[in-house]
Amino acid sequence: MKRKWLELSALLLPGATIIAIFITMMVAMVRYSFAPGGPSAIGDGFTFEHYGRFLGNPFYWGYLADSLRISLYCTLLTAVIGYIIAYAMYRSGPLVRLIVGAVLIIQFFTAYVIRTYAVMLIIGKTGLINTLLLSFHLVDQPVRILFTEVGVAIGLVMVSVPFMVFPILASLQRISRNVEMAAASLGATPMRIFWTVIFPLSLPGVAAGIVIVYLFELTSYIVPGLLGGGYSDMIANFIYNKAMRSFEYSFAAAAAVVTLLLSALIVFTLNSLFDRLTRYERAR
Amino acid sequence: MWNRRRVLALAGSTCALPFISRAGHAQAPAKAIRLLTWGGYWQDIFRPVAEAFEKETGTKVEFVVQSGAADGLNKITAQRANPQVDLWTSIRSTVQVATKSGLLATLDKDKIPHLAEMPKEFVKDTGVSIWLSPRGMFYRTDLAPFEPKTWNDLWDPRLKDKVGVTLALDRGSFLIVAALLNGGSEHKIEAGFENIQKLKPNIHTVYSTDPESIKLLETGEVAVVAWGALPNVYRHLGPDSKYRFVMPAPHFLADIPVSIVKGRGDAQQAAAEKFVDYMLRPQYQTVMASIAGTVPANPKAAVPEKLRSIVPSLPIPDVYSVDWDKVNAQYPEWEDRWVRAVQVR
Repeated sequence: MKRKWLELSALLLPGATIIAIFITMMVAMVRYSFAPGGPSAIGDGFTFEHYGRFLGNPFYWGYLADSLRISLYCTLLTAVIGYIIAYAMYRSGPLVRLIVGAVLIIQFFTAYVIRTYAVMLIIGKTGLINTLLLSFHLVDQPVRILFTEVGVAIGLVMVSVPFMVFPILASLQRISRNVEMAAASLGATPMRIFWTVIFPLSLPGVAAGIVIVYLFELTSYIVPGLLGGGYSDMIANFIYNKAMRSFEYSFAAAAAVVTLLLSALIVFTLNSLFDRLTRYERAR
Repeated sequence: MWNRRRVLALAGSTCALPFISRAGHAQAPAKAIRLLTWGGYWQDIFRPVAEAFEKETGTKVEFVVQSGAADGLNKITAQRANPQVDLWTSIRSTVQVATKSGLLATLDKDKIPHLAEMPKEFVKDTGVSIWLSPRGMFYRTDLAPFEPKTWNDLWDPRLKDKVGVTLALDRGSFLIVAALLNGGSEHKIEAGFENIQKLKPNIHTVYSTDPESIKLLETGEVAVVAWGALPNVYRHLGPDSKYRFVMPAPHFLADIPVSIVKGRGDAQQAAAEKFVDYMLRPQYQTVMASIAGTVPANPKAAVPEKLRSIVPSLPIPDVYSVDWDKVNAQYPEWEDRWVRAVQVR
C-alpha cells in the first residue's frame, strides 16, 4: 500500500509541479490586479480601481469586444476550411492522407513567429497576392491587405487550421463505413448521407476544434502584432502594451483576469452547447 | 528512517543554502558578468571590448537580450529579488524609471576613473552614456518620390501611404517632434496630436521596435521610416546604397547610458564597474562608434570618418533635450490617445 502511494506520487509529481507553478502565477496575477498603484508601482493594499477603469471605459473593453468579434468569425472560417481539408483527407487514400498530414504537422515544427512572417510575405505590398494581381493587371496599385483587420484574419486562420483539422479528422475516422452503407442502401443520396449521418457524427471533433481554435485566436498576440500594424490590436496586445510599455502592471493584470474569466465562460458555454448537440453521438 | 528531527534538520540546512552560497559567491572574484542589451547586431558593438576586457581581467562578458529598453526594464524589475544581470544598456527615460524604483547602483567615481573624462551632462548617478545615437528618418531612394530633408517633408502629400511612424520607440519622441513642428513640446503635447492628424493620410503603418522599422523598409512596405536610430541602418549606408539617413533639425541625439544593476554581490559589482570603465576608454569608444554608427560619448575619442558624412556636423548643434520626467508621467495617457487618434482607419 505504501509502495503504491510512493509510485503514484512519483508519477504525479511532474504534473503536480507544473500545475502548482501555474496556480502560483495565476494567484500572483490576481493579487497584482487588486494592488493599488500606477506606472511602475505595485502597492500594498486592495482596490477595485483597475477593474473599474477597464470595465468602465469603452475604449478599453472595446479591445476585448473586438477580440471576441474577430476570433468568432475567424474560428468559423477556420472551421469551414479545416472541415473541408479533414474531409478530403478522410475520403482520400493513404498516400494523399500522409502527404497532407505531413504538410500540416510540419507547421508545428516551425515557430509561430516564422509562420506569421511567412504570411507577411504572402499578403504584403510586394507579396505573392499583390504580385499576381499586378502581373495579371487586375489592379493598378498594390491592394492593402497587410496591416488591416483582413490581414490579421488571414493570419489567424492560416496558423489555426492545423488545430482544427486533426480533431475533426479523428472524429471522422471513428465513423464506421457500415453506417454510410446502411444509409445508402436505404436510398439516401451522398449529400443527404453527409448532412444527416457524417456531419452530426463528426460534431465532437468539430466541437473540440472550435474550442481550441477560438481560445487560441482570442488570446493571439503575435499575429495581430505583426500583421495588424497597430490597426488591429487585440486584447493580448493591449495587455502587453499596458504592462511592458506603460509599466501599468496592476491595470494590465486586471485586464488579463477579466480576459481569463471571459475565456473560461466561453469554454464552459461552448462545451455545454456542444454537449447538447452531440448527445446522440455520445449515446452510441 | 524519517523522523521529525531529521526532517527539521534537512529543512533548516536547505533554507541556509542560499545564504551560504551567496556569502561564498560575494568573496570570490567574478568569473563572468552579464550585460543586458539589445540583440543581434547590437551585441557585435560590444564584442571587441568584451574580448579585450576578458583578456585583461579574466572576466567573461555574457550577453542577455532585451527586445527594447522597456523590455529590459521589465526584466530587471521582475528580477528585483534575485537579479540575473550585472549591467544594463538602455535609454534615459527607462533609466529614470529604474532609478526611481531603486533597481540601479550608484556609480562610484573612484572605481570608474574614466568618468572624470566624460561631459557632466552624460554622467548621472546611476548611468553614464557610452555613446550618442543620432535619431532621424531613413528612407529608400528607389521607393521615395523625393529625398526628404526636413521633418516637415514627412507631411508632403507625395508620401501618401508611404510612411511608417512610431510612438513606442524612444518613448514618444516622434510625437514630441510633431509637437515641436507645431509650436508645442512634451509639455504642450496637444500640438503634437494635432499635427499627427494631418500626417495620417501618409501613414502606412505603426511600428514599435527597431527591427520592425528596418523590416518595413527592407520589404518595401514603406518608403520612409519617420523615426529611427542611425545604428539601425548604418550597415546599409554607403555611396551605392539605396538607403539614406537624414537627421533634420531639431536634432535628437539619444545618449545611451549603461547602468549597474543592484544586488548581485560585491565581486560582481566590482567587475561591472571595471567593464564600465573599459567602455569609457577613448580607444574602445571609437571602436564601438565605428561599428554602431554612433558618436562617442567621451570627447577624447576619435569620431569615425563614415559618421562625419552622415550627421550634419560634429559636435551636433541644437540638440533638443527632452524632459523625460514629464514624458514618463504622461506616457500612458499619450499611448491611449495615440491609439484612438492614429491607429484607426
